[in-house]
Amino acid sequence: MSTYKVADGHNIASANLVTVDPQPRSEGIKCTRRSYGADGSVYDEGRYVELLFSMLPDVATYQSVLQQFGVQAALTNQVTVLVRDEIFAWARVNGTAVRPEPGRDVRWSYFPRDITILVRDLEAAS
Amino acid sequence: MKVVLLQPAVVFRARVNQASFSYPLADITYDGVTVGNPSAVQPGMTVVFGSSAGGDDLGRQRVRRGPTADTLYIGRSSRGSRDGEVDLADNAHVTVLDDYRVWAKISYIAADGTVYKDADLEVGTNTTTPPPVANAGAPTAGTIDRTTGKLRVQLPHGSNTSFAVAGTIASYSWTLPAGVTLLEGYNLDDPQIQVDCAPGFHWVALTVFDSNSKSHTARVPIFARDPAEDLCIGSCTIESHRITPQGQQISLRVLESIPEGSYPDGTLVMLWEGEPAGPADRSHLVFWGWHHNDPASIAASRTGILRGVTLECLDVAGKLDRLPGFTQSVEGKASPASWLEMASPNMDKYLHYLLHWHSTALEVADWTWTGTGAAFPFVVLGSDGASLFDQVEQRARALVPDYHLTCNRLGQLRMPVDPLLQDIAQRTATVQATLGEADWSEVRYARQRPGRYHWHRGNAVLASATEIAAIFCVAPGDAPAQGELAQEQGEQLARSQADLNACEGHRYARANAPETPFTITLAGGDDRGIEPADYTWVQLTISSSTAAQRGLAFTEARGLPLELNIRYDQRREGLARTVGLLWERETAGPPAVTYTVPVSDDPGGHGGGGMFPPPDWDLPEFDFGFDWFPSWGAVGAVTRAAVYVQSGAVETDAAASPIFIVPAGMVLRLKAAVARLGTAGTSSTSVRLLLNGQLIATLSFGAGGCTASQAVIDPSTGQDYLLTGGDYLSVQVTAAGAGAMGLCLLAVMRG
Repeated sequence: MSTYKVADGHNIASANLVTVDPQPRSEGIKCTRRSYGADGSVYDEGRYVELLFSMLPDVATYQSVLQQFGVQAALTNQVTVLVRDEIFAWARVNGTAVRPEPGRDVRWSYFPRDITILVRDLEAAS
Repeated sequence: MKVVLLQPAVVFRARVNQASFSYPLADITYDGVTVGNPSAVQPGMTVVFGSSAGGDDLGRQRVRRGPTADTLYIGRSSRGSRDGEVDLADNAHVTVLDDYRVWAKISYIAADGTVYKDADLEVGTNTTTPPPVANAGAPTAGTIDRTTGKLRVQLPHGSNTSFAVAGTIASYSWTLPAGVTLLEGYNLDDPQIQVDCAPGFHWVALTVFDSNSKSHTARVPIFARDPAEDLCIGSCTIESHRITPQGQQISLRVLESIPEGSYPDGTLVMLWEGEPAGPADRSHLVFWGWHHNDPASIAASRTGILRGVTLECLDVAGKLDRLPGFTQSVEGKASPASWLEMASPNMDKYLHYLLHWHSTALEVADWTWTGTGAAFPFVVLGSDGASLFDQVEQRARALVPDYHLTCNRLGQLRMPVDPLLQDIAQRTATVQATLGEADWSEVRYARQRPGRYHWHRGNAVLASATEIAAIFCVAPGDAPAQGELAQEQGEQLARSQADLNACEGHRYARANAPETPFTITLAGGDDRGIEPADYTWVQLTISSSTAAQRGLAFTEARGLPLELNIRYDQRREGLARTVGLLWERETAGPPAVTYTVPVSDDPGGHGGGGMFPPPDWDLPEFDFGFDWFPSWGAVGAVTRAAVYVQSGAVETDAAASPIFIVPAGMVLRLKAAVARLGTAGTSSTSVRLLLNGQLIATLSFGAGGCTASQAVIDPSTGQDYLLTGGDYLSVQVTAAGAGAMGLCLLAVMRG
């Protein structure tokens, strides 16, 4: 069974992706906006995925997760990720990871809670 | 999306070495060079003057030619500190930047009346054999290759479109700055080259030489991005983006610090998305131009101070539209002795004259002219004061059918014809995009069957190098339609009456188009690469299944893209782009009708007792201020509106060589005579106007370049002369020296 994986940079081969530890959950790849043509054709724009952690045990684990996505020292970082796509199949995609925004993407209540690692601007990896 | 603002390198630093200044000035003496040497300073570079090193508080100008060891030549400047002004003091700091912009070149008229372009440039042979136009291609930006550490670029990106205004292109010469190397297999005198660019910003120059030994230099900017030392502006969003045939306007909201000291006012801006697919690819370039102004906001909130600045940027056309163009005129002359004279003038040469001698636009952007060449000659032509863009656009639109000055998304200036004013068979067949029902998500329009205009009158001067003859037409014809309004189109240059009639017929149809321009929202946030500046077709389909309740439907109807408005919605999850297209559906109409003077003098109208009076005509005006007597064409005699004294001899009258014979059935009231003597004429010139061989008016001139006019009164009646069919007018000219003279007779139809 596949797991969520990540590596720094774009177009990193599957064999070189590292399993995210601990494993997040997600609702699969979504789109920023869905628009429609006059003939009913559908356009999904701005693919992204949110990797969710309900709670992490301590600060060190939280910072380790940030480090895996390269957003501990930087606000954003280019990554290759293995995530569930729109039909929940596993897909290797390029994107930009975004450090969680305190108060919105992470909150502190004795532990780091409700953490969201956003990976946006997704495109198929080569 | 990536944005880079140029931080121009300093190529030269010195100090003003001059005790006093007489404004306006166009050169300064310097010493105390601390950076670079004079040979590094190129024409077109930006120079700033300051009370401290690198400062511009004492003004900014452009270098107009290479300096000497102690003298820097700048654009003609009055005293001040704004762009185009200087306020100098001894030892003021001089800084020349590796930076090129669009400037107006200011002309100068000396006390003796001699005109100089760009402060001190004499006409020489510049209006006999104008210099060529160098087109170095569109700029590019991209990330360096990981392996080579360079960005590979082809210049120009397409075929070399440089051209000669007179003669032919003889040779090319590329000048590469440090950091740009020529690839093996190419030479610097090739029309097209490939280069490798080191990280950073570079200006590459192309000089073309023509067969008359004239030359022109254009420069193209290239930015090679190094991710390891990224000079791009990271925190930036697009507030607005508007694309029209007249170019692009873009507003960038910048969230990081961009101090003026590092990014000077008016600096170059480049915006691109993705990476070029190859050395010749420019499809990733979204915008390039210059910073124009920057609205800023500072707001104190509960938790901190929020700051924001928006850079409003203009492309080359936008810059031209904000620079001054001054009133001027050009007259045909076999051997020009002044900037006001041109050999074998035609509209294309006049357009080149405006752009080349009055701005630096052609030094930083490609330009292609109409290509009409000798098809549109003129005797004399002028321009009102307006922006430089408007001056060129107005003269391009004076052609029949209209041409336009446009600027495409790559910042290239073009002059395409307006296909909606051409006959259908002559219209372009190029379709740049086809919008099926999968390509749009919303369409808005208004339909109005009744026309808005009941009459459209057109007038023009026939294109000629020797005479000025006016022609008229009216659409839809002698009988007006049902619209409320009337309109007129004048100041045009036409090859024939038929051309004018065809063009104005289409213009009338366009003004009365049954639908307003369509506002279309393109699906998926994709602009389909639509280029309004091309004046080529976008096809649209609205099927019967998607048509609105009134049932308007069509399949692949042709139309022109008038405007693209792109809204960027930067959301947390990504970018959502909304593209709005304004689209004008194709129209066409029957030719307008040639206007002819009615044969009856019945004050009630045509042919005795008609219900509708003929149109009231305003005689056409051109910028040189003449009111021209319409030429009805030869009736067995030479009909001329201009008389030229060739060599000082008297040009005799005679019944055998009248200048005008009143056609049978026509009735005219001759009201006045106006004549203008060319600059070479003398005060000893006089013009005698004769009616049927009898002297009726004498015009005398004070000096060359003057206009004389006289009302013409019949002494027997005390009123205007009444001319009927068979009456003839002739002219007797006496001149002490050679010179050109134009004669105009002002008359009105009927009694």
